[in-house]
This record gives sequence, structure tokens and C-alpha cells, in this order.
Amino acid sequence: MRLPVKIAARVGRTLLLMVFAAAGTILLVRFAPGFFSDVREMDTKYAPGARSEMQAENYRQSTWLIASQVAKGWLDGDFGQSRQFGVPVSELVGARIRVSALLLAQGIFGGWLLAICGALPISGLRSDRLLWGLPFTILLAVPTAAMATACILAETGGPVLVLSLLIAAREFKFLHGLLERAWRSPHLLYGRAQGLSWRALVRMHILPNAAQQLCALTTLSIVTALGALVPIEVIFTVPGVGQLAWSAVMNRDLPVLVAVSLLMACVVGVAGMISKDIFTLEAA
Amino acid sequence: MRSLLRSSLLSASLMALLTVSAPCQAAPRQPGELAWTIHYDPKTFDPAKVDEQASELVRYLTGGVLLRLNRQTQEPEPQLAESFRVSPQGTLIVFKLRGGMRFSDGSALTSADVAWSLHRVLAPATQDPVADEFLSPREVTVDAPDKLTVRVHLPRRIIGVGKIFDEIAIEPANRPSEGRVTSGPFTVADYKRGQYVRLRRNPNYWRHDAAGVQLPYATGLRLDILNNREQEISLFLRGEYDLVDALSPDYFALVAKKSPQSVQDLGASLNTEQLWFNQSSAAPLPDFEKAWFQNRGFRVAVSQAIHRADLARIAYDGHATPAFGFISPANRLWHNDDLKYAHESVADANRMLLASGFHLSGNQLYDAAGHPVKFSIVTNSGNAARQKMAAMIQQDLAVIGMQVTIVPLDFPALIERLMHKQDYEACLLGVSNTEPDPTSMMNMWLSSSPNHQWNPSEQTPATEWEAEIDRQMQAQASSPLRNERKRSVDLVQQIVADQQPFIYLVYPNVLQAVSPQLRGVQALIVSPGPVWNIDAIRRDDGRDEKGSHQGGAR
Repeated sequence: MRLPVKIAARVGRTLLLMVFAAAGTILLVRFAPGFFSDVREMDTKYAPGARSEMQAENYRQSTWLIASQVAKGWLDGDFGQSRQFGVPVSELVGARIRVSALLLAQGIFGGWLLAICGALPISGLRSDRLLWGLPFTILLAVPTAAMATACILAETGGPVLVLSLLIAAREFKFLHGLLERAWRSPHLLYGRAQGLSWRALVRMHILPNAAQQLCALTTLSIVTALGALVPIEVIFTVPGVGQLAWSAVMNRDLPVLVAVSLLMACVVGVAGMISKDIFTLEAA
Repeated sequence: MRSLLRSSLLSASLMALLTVSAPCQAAPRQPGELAWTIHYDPKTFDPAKVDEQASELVRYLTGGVLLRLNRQTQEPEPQLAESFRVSPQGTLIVFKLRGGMRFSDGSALTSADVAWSLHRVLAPATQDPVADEFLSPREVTVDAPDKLTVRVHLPRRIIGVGKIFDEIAIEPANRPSEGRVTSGPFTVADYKRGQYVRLRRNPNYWRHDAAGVQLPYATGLRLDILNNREQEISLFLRGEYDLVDALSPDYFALVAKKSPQSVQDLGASLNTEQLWFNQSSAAPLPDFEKAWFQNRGFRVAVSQAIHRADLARIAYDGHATPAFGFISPANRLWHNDDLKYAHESVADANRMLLASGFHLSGNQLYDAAGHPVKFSIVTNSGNAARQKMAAMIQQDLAVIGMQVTIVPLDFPALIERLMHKQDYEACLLGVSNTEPDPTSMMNMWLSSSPNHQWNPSEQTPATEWEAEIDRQMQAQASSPLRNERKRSVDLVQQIVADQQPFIYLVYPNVLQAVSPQLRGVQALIVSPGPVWNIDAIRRDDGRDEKGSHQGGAR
């Protein structure tokens, strides 16, 4: 297949992923218990207003109608109005993307730094590798929310630390394997036998050779970090997209959830494309 | 290899140092600023469109009003109005404004602004929930015969009309500003969605203290939007926040351990926790279950089997008061001190069930047709005290042979089951009463109301006692005489105690934590809690801003 066709196919696949994400979100939220209710209905003071608003909204809430409205809105560049906050979704999501992007960038950077700092020396060890790698294995078993809650209770650490530890635990295994194979390669064994320093070997041979695979792994870290974004932002009250998504789920805020799902699907799709396809295409 | 290990450890330590630093800081506090949290973003800053609690608080803190309901005496007191007079028929209210008042932007506040603000609230297009309190808002007329006089003509007398004006913020005529230009103690200065609302002191606020110092004392308020109690308490203990309102018992114990001088238990609140059975004939339940729930003996027996003192002691760590009626003893004006109710007794409960056609076989209770008495109690997830109560009720009812399943649901799902589908058997939930006056509870007691939870939106009252409740609640809402109103409300309390449509469990206590550095806080169990006299509260942290206010002193 020719290169432009390949790129078009990859882009098409990402778009399809986004369509599935939007459709899935609409179906799940529309049929979630409580979609047709408003917390204010229980407050006798505000119940009449809430009820009339809900009735007006429910009147136009058939699934197909919602889906067609969402599709039409997105094609026209209108992402709708948040049901919970009563403001345009673009305004709501736009302000939070920067916060989440910064958190993701810091978390991924920190995670990789920790993973590399752990994997580089451990992979070069001749014995006790399992023992030295144990902290990362233990970290892998700790749920993100538990890690975040522990930080809050201990009044130390923050969202970046938790995200970094999560990424480090996930990526350590891959990195360790990668570097272990590299150390055992004949030319490195020869270099070591010739008395080349460890630092020179890492800088001149290991990192340049593993760079492509490391880049692919980094893009996949984005997907891992996205998965942890919701609990981390909720527990640490970070005003990002993850916190918004949680609040939207709890309030059945469909327009916001569709926007967040599409955003996540787009990031996941593009990350996948970069990690897998772009490097393949470049190689081709 | 060693050098590699060293540089790796060094990098890891640097990274850890960067990320371990303070978890989540509150926004920096400005000098003289008070700070606390609200749990959700206010939906609006427009004082005429308030329809939830966060916006209501911002309106309270920013809006200048003609009359302010004194939260301690429950009597309306003049604010922007120097005086007010209600005609003997109750259909004309004349407000006389204070002279020389200014909005926060320096423009003069006159009767034209007041008339415009009232018209805006009354206009159907505004959809202000406050308008409904005027009963027929379209028939209310407002005029301003001179710069300092405003007359409000009502089509008929409204009981407690003064408190309605407590909810109407006066804004500059034709310049609605969403709280940016106000006549109250503060103005909205900054808002970051999901982070904070920052209010700034109104330099032209009309009130002064006894020494002539212009109020409010605080230079500003920062309301952080934070729905995480652990973090809120951690920041309070670090001095980032000045108060924590509506503490749950477990968090109260936590704060009491670390800062015993901060916590306050103000005793029973006006709020109630209650259990009720679905008596709606439209409910998708088997007929025999509906018959149980509509049976007075069944409800009274359940009430008798529940050990309320244990609920208060265990579920609330002793920070709750056993409840037997819908008006808390803290509401001294309206509580029925002579209330007669069926006392807790398992033996009496068993006798009552037997007399109502139920019988016990082994450990299981059966109805007359042989159906085992099994039902579920729905409640909202995330409320630890409520879930503990549900578990204890489950145990109490097992003693009289009832099998109970507890179903915690998230709030939207619970509301759908209660309000839309009526698809539940029993429900355990609380009611927040923000006002002591029983008129504010009308929507809960009138049989035609959708908030008449045990049988919502009845076309006609299903039972004679419900019809009597309707009559008495209407009577108390229309009588100008306090004694007559009290008699009606007492009667409703007695009917409810006899019939047990709601089985009242406890009145949770008002628990709060207030920084020892705050001065001027007066304990209060009704909304808006400790900040009800916000203009007289200040922080004594050695950076007292009092001196800087001297310029505004009279």
C-alpha cells in the first residue's frame, strides 16, 4: 500500500474509534439510572423549577435525537451546553485541558525518569535483579486511588508523584527487559571487555539503539496516564478534564461526557498511531 | 557501574523531591481574607436566578437586601430599608430606604433600583424561584413614589412576607452584573471554575460597627470549590481554611483529636433522618406489599422496633438526638412539647403486628395471606452514617421477623426511583430544613405535592388523616395569628406521630470546626451556619485589617 493511503487508513481508524466512543457514551448515559432526574428535585425549595426544566429537557431526549443533535452540533463546531453547569462545553473543557495536559506531561516525564533510573543499573546487575526490582513490582500492585489516598493521609506527595509512580511501575518491566537484552548483546560485551565506561556504553550504544522503542513506549504511557487521570484528579481535586469527567458522570451530564470521551478517544487513537504506525511507516 | 547507580539515585531523588512537595495547596490567602470551601461550583452569580445552595450562599454574602431575617430571632430586621410598615390587611408594604447609600461601584442606591430589582424577580421571564413565594407574583405591583420610598402591593396577605425580602438582592437598575456590583458586604471579584470564588469587600457597604468602623471587617472571602472532606480537613488543620461546616461525626472526631479547641457540637439540628414506606397506589409493587405499607399497625410496629438511641450513639458517635417528630426540639417555637408517640418496645411491636394480621413463624414474619415479610431499603451511597443506620435498622427489624435488604444507590438513580418511577419499597434518607418556619415544609406535607414522598402527587388525599394534614397545613399558612398557627402545626405533628408515614430516626447534631483565630462567629444551627453574620467576622492573625478600615469610619 502507498504511504498516503496508509496514513488515511490510520486516520480513518482513529475517527472510527471516536465515533464508537461517542455512540457508546450516549447509549450508556442515556440508559443510566437517573438520567431523567435532577438532585434539586429533592429540595422542596427548588423542586418546581428543577421539575419544569427537566420536563422540558426530557421531552427532547430520545436516543436518536440526542445522537443526531450531538453529531450535528459537532459538525457545526458547537459542542453543546453543559447540563450541570449551564455553560458551553467548549468553555468548560478548554479551560481544563491545559491543567490535565501539564499533569500528564509532568507525570509521564517523572515516571520515565524513575523507570530509567531504576532499570538502567538493575539491568546491568549480574545478581539480585529480582530483589532490586521488587519496589516496582509492589507499586504495580497498588491501585492508583489507594496510592493517592495514602498521599493525602500522609500529607505528602501529590498528583504528579502518584502519576509518576504509576507510570514508573508500568514501564519499568518493559525497560528492564529492553535494557537487559541490550547489555547482553555481543558488541556491548566486547565493549565492556575492552574497558569502556558504563556511562559511555549507555550514552553511545544503549540509548541510541533503544530510542525508537522508547519513543513508542512513551506514547503508550499517555494511554496509561489517561486511565489514571480520573481518580488522581478527583482525589487531589485537580481542576482538570478527569475531574470534570467524574463530575459529569455523577450528574449524568451527557454533552460534557461526549466531549470528554471524544477527546480521550482522539488522544488514545493518535498515541496508538504514533507508537505503532508512524515508526513502522518511517522504517518503510 | 557504581557511578551509574549513583547518578540514577541522584536523578530519582531529585524527581522525588520535586513531586513529594506539598500535595495540593489552596490558592494563596490574601491579607485579611477569610477562606472556607463550598462543595460545588455555583450555577449562577445572578441573584435573581439562584436555584441551588452554592449560589444561594454567594447571594447571601454579596447581596444587599431590604430586610434580613435575623437567624437567631427569626424576625426580619431592616437593612437597606431603614424601616418598613405592613398595612393591617397585609396587602401593602412600605419600605423607607436609608439615605446616602451607594453600590460597590460608587453609584447611588435609590428606590428606582429597589423597584427595578423587585420587578425583575417578579417577572415570569426571570424564572426566579423566590417569585413563587409571593403566591401570585403577576398580581404584585411595586412603585417608588420618591427616591427613598418603595411600596409593594400584594393581592392578599402572605404569612411571613418579611423573609421573602431576605432573598431579594438589590441591584443597580438596568445593570444586572452577576454579583460584580452589589449593595451587600462583598462583591464577586474572581471566579475560576472548579477552583474558587473570590469575593472582595464592598468599599461602600452601608453598615458600621458600634465604634463606627465600616463593615465588613474581612478584606475578602475565598470560597474554594472542593468536594473532598479529607483534603478540606487537612487544609483546615494547616490553617488554610477558617471553618468547616456540616462536619460528619467521623471527621468531627478526627478534628477534635488534632485541634480540640476548633470543634463545636451545637446540638440537634433542624434536619431529620427518616425511613418511609412507599404507599403510592401507582407503585410497581405487588398488592400485598402495598397493603403492608398502607397498614398503620405495620408502620408503627417498625417504628417501635427501631432503637433510636443506638442509632445516635453508634452511627453518629453520639452526635445526634433520637427523633420522633418532624420538628426538631431545636426549633423551640414550633416543636410540640406534648407530642404522644408509640415508644420503642419490641414486645409492643410484636403485639401490634399480631393485631394487624401478621404472624411470626420461627424467625420469619408472615402476613395473613402467608407472604413472608421481606423488603428492601434504598438509600444514597456515600453517606457513612446513613449506611450504618440502615445496617442497624436491618438488625432491629430482623428481631421482629422482617427480612431487610439494603440497597445503596447514587443520588440520580435514587431520585429516579423515588420521584419518577416510585419503584422502591422503603427509603432511608434525610431532609434538610433550612428554615424553622413550617411553611417552608408545605411541599412535603401537602398530599398534592410531588415532594409528598410516601405517596406523591395525589389527586385527592388517599386517607382521612392526609386530608386533615392538608387542612391544617393550609390553615397555618394562611392564619396571621401565631397561636392559631402553632395549634395547627402541633396537630400535624401529632397526626404524623400517630400514623408514622415518615418514621423519624434522629436529628443529626450541627457539627462544625471554626479556627480559634476567627473573631465574631456566633453559633447558629440554621442556614447559612457560622457565616450568617459574615460582616462582623474577622481573622485575628496579627495582620488585623481593622486599621485599614479606619478611613471608612463615620
